Amino acid sequence: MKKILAILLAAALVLSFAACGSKEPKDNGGDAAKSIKVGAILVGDETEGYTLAHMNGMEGAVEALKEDGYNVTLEYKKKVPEDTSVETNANNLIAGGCDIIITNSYGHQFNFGSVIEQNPDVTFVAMTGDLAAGSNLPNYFNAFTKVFESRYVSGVVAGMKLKSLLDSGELNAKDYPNSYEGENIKIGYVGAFNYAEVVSGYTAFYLGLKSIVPNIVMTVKYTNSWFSEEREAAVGEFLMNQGCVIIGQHADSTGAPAAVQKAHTAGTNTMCYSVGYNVDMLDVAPDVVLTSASNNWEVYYETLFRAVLEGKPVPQDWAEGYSEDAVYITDLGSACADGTDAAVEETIAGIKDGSIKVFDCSTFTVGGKNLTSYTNAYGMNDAETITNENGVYFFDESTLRAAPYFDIRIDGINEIASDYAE
Amino acid sequence: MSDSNKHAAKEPFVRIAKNGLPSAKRAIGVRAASLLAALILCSIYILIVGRGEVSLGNAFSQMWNGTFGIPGNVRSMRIMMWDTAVYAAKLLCVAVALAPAFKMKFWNIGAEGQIVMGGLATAIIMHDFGSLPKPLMLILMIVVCVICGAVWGVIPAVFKAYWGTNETLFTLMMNYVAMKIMDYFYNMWKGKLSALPTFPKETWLPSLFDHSYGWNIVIFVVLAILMFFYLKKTKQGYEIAVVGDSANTARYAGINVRRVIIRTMAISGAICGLCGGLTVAAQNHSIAYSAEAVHTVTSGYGFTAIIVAWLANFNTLGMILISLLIQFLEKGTGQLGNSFPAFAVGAGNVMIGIVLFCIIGGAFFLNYRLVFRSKKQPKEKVKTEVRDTDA
Repeated sequence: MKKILAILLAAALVLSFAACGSKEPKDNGGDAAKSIKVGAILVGDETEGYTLAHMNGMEGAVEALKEDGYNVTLEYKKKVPEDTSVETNANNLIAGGCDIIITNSYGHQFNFGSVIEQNPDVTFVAMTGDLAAGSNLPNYFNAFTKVFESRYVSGVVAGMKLKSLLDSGELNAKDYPNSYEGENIKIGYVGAFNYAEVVSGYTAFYLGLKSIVPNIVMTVKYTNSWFSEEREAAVGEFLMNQGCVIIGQHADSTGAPAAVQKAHTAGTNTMCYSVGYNVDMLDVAPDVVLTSASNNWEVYYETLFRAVLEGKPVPQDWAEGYSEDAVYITDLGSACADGTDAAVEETIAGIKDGSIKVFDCSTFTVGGKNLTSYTNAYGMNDAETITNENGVYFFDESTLRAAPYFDIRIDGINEIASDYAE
Repeated sequence: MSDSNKHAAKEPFVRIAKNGLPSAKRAIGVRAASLLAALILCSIYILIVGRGEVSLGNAFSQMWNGTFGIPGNVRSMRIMMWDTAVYAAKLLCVAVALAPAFKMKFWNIGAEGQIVMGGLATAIIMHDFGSLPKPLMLILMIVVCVICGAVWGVIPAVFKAYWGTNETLFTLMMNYVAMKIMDYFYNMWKGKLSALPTFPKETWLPSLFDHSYGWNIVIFVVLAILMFFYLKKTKQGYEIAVVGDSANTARYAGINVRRVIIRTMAISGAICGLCGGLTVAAQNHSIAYSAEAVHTVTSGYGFTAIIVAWLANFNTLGMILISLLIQFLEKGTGQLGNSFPAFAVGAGNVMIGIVLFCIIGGAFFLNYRLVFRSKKQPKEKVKTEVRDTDA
C-alpha cells in the first residue's frame, strides 16, 4: 500500500515537473471586458473583523457591478502569513486566471517576490501598503481610506455626550474628582501600536472631541497587538480606573467596550462611555457604546474593479473619506446625547465642503506652538506635510500617499508605557 | 452448572492481548483499514459541517487543488507542487532532527527554539554582514545557524546529563526564550515600520531549479537519507539505541552515556538550526514576530514534527511519506477553508485530528489485538472448567 502510494506520488511529481515547459496558459479571451476574476490574499478570515470588512467590501462591489452587467468572480486565500506564501498564492491565483491580486495586510507587500514584474497584465493592489508609487511598476497600486475623518466625527459624538454630562451637572469635580486633571477632563484611548496610522487616528479623535469640549486631556495606552480582547479589556479597565470619561480605541476587538459595560452593569461609581472601531459594538456594550468609526471598503473595491473592467487607469494611492462615502460611523447608541445627530451631520458636511480640516493647525499645539511646517514625517523623505489654504494651515493627511503619515505628538495627549512587550 | 456460569462471567467482554511482530500482510491491512476509516469519518464530518451544501467530490477535489494545483493547469500544478515539496521537506528536516534524540528517549520538545536560534543567527549575518564577499557570507550563514542550533540543543542536554533535569520542560521553556530573543531583533530592525521588510536580495541563497528555496529541498532530503544510515549502520547510531533502551545497560557496556546524550542533542539541535537558517536564507528572507498566528520561521513544525517522527517510528525514510501526508492535510484543509466559509474556522484542523487519530489508532492494532469473550470456549478453558467442576 505504502509502496504503491509512493510510486503513484512520485509518478505524479515527475509527470508534472516534466510537463513544465515554458507554455503559459493563454487567456481564454471571451468577453474579457465584461467579466474578471479577482484573487484576494487575506491575513485573516471571516472571524476577524478587519478581514471580514474587506470581504464584505469586495462582495458588495461584486453585487453593485452585477447591476451594470459586469461579472466579477472572487477567489479568497485566507490566513496567509506575511512570508513567501504571498508570492506562491499570487502565482497560483494568476495561474487560475485572476486579473487582479489584492493583499490586505501591510506586511504582505514585502513578499511579492518578482510576481508583479512577471505579470504585467495583472493588476496588483497592496491595501494599506506604501511601496507602490516608489516601485515604478505600472501595474502595482496602494489604497487606504481617510478613516481619520470618521474618527474625528466619532470624537464629535463623544464630545456631545461629554458636554451634556457637564451641562446637566452629572459630571462634576466634586463627585468625580478622579476624572479631572486640574480644569481638564480625562479621556482615554486604547491603541494597538505606536505607528503613524494609530497616532493619526487618535489625534483626529481627540481633535473631534476638543471641537465640542475644549478642556480635555487624553491618555493613550498601547496593547501592542491589533486584536486581543484580553489586553484591550485590561487597558480599558486601567483607563477607567484612571478616571477617563470617554474611551476611544484603535484595536480590533470589543474588549474595551465590554470592560466598560461590565463596570456599568456592576453599578460601580464610574462614569465612562466607549467609542469603538470597525464594527458596530452595541450588541456587546449596549449601554455605554456611543458609536464606532468605520471604513466602507466597498467604495474602493468598486472603483478598482470598474477601472479594470472598463480598461481605465487605476488610481495610484487612492485615499477617500466622506466625500466618496468611503468612511462612516456606525449607528448611534442609546447613550448618545440629544442633538448628536445634527452635530454629526454638520461636521460631515463641513468635512465634505472643506470648511472643516481635521488636522487644522490652529486647533492644536506642539510644545506650546502652532505648526506652520512639518517635514519629519517618517518615511516621507522630508516632504512638507502642512499645507496653507487661504491662510489656514493644516496637516495634509493621506494626500502625498494613501497610508497615514501623521506622527506628530501634540500637546494634551499623553502616551504612557505599554504593559505588553512589542 | 451454576458454578461454571459464575466462573465464565469473570472473563471480561473484551480484553487486550499483546501481539508479536506483525506480519507484513497484517501491517499493510491495518494501515489500509485505518486510512479507510479516516476517509469515512472525514466524509461524514464534511457532510455534517458543510450542511449538505458541500459535496464530497467537491471537497476532496478542493483539497487536491490546494496541495497539487488545479488538475490540467500546468502552471498551477507546478507552483503548488513546488510549494508542497518545500514545506514537506522542511517538516521532514525537523522530524529527522528529532529522530536521534527521540530514539535515545530524550524528549526534545525544543525544536522550535533551535530552529529560531539557527534562523536568527543566519538573519544577523544577512542583516549586518551583507557587505562581506558573497561566498564567505554564505559559508558564515550556514556555519552560524548550525552552531547556534546545536548550542540551543546542547544546553538542556548538559543539564540532563550532569544533573538529571527534566529535558521535556527544559527544552520547552528554551523555545520561549529563543522566540523572545528573535522578537527583540525583529522590533529593533523593524523600527517605526509596522512590519519587517525582507533582507536585500544580494544576501539570499542562490536559486536552484528556478526557486530560491531549491537547495532546501535537496539538502533536507539528503539529510533524511544520511540520518537513516547514521542511525542504522554506525556505531554512534547503535549507542543511541542502547542508551534509549537502558542507560544502565549502556553504562555496563562501557558507553559514555553523558557523551552520547550531549553529542546526540548537538546533532539534533544542529539540524534544527540548519532548518531555521535555510528557511531564512532561502525561503523567507526575513524573520518573524512570535505573536503572529503563524511563526513563519518555524511554521510550528517543531511541534508537528514530533507527530511525524512518531508515526514513522523514527524511520527517517518513512518520514518522507508522513510529511507529504501532513502537507496534504494542512494545505488541503486550508484550501477547503478558502473555498467554503463553513470550513474557515478551525474545521480543517478537526479533519487533521481525525486522520492522525485513525493512523495512531491503527498503530495500536499492530501491536495489540482485542480478544472478545466468545460463547465457544477456547479448548484449554473448557478443560480447566471441567477440572473445576470435577473438584
